[in-house]
Amino acid sequence: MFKRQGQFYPQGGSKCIEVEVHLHEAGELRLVNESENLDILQDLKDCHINPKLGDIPRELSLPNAGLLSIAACTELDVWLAGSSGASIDKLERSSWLILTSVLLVPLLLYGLFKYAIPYAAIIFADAVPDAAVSVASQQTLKTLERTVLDPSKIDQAEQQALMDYWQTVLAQMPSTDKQFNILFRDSSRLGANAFALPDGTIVFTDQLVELFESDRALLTSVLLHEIGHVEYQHSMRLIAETLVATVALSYFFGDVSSLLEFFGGVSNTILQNQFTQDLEWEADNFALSHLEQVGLSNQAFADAMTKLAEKIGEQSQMDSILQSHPLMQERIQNALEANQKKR
Amino acid sequence: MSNMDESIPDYKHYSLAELLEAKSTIDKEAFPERLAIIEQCIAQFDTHSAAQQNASENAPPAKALRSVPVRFLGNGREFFNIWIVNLLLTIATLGIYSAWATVRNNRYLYSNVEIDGHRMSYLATPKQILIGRAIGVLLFASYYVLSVLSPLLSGLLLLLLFALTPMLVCMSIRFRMRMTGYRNVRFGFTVRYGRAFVVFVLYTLLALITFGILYPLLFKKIDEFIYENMTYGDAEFETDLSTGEYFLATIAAGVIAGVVIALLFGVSIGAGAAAFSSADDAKPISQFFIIGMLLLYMIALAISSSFYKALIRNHIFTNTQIRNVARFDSKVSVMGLIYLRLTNLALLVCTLGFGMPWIKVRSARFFARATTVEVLPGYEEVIASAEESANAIGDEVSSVFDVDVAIG
Repeated sequence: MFKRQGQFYPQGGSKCIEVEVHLHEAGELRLVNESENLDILQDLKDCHINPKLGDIPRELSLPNAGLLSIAACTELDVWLAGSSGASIDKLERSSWLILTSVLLVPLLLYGLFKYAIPYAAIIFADAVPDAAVSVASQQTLKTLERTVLDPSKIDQAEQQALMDYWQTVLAQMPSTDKQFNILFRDSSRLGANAFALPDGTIVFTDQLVELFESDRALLTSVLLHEIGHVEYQHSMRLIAETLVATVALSYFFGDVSSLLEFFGGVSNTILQNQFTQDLEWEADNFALSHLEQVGLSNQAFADAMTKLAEKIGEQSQMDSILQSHPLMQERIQNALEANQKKR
Repeated sequence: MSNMDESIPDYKHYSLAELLEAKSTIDKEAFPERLAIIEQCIAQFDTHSAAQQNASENAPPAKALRSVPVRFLGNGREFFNIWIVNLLLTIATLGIYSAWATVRNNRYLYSNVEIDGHRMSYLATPKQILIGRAIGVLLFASYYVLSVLSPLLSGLLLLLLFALTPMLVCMSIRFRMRMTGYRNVRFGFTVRYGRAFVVFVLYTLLALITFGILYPLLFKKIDEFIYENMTYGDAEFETDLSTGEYFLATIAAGVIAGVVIALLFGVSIGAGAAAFSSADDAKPISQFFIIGMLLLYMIALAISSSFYKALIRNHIFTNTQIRNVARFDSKVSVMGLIYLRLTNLALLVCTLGFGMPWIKVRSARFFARATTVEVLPGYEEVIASAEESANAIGDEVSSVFDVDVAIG
């Protein structure tokens, strides 16, 4: 038997009585305060014990009587542990587990964002019904046409010639269930650019056609890159990745705090750029592996990238640094290397 | 004048203020027996006033028994161990354990707050947290997916959420209050949906219509709504906030934010122009640039929001009391808070997030130190129904409405 000072809060109010607590070997405790005429005998079995945590006082709920709080100490912990068994507290005090956590937490987070989430995103992209994809794409196109895209100013005959050529190119591609719908739009805002919507709509800007001087080989290598985006369902994957990453971040670190919002913002930016860059590489390699099939060389892709790189160099610096494409030089190198391998 | 000696004024029907005035002005030598009656009446008033809550407006402020500091007793190292192990378990279980982790983290932070020799307690159960999280994630995910598929439907959902905001906010506040205990009594929140609708929807619209000029009024109405409806057992909170203070704090914070952003932006553009002179090098720098911009933005936000937070916290604390239980005082210094926020930000960035436990502990200690509580005579007489007793085992008490829907 040993004694401790405790604070006893009788149920039903904010009163507190200082008590002497007698803790008996048999798992019985007795609360005594003579001046308050208090003497309670209680079996520990019937009490609810709040799990041990750090060095905060140990709390016991006495059924229908009140709450008892006693400063934490080893002797008391041992006495209480007799009835509660294993505890998470032991893990929180284990030096090796703490050390392991410090190493494992970053590793696991890295693995989660680098592999698990992109993998889950592929599954998600496959699961989205085509009708939904089509609705989403048309909505996006409408929004873009209202804001940054204007009707093309390219000569109608030239457009038709390109279209006819691309029909033969597409016919040479491996069969696919996607319908590609190629459009030309004028956009001073986007500059020399091309993008693909998930339903197979591919938009070239007049500025890109001008930059490539209507060179079919160069334009086709960009087309193949965009087809790569569509074939791999990149838009849907990006959406899924961003969504899951956002939820995961707020879930793991989400004890609301303005600092965390900042942290989340930064990691989202990095993550999204990372995701996007991975997707760009995939689209590049798709284009590179199909160029020969349509009777073109990888040199065309490298040339297209070189021209774009020069153009970006001229553009305002703000524009270029906010782009998410991988390093142009690396992409050109990648194209040339693929070229050499084939020879 | 002549009958003054004979007729004794009807002190029994005097108000307390009148009695006190009579006591101080009466000629004590000449009318000792009247003085006795007055004192008797005052004494009766004192015992009555404890029971009659309406009388408190006329009654002078209750005399504080003692003024006590708020102390935070946790330490960063101990909290780090708890936090990191729980984080590992959370990740290893793909997030499911996070509800248990939240409870342990919060229990540590709450139970290390000591006021007048007693600890605060965090009373939520993991199950309650889990349900709230699940609903929150579901809502967020469905909104995100809808926003991609159909702007119209997502707009409707957003509108629905806006209309439901008052209810969700009330539930959230109620949950947080009910999960906080002190001296075995739970805090609480009296939900008034009608009033919540007026505050969160109508005043928000009003603020929007007036191009934001009335935002300070909205902030004041929100705080007033929260603090007026808080309870501690059967004791109610009273608050008396001034709209002027909110206008002052908001305008000052806005001006400071503008100045800081202008200064930082000027510096960063100069640095940016110098750094990105060659296009080839631009890519690897781009991420740093974006992070840099975010950091600058955060610094500006930290400085201006510290100003607002310090002013408004001090204002709310000094003007809020739990009737006959406690009065509060807060002396947060603006410079101290800016220093805390900026060092926390540096700590977070330099440790890549691993400094979070120290940040929480430092912040808790800072706000505890700035706070004093005046203990009023009724502090031991707060009554808590079976539901309001903190020791009642969670599951039996928690109703389905005790859910904190975690949005965003």
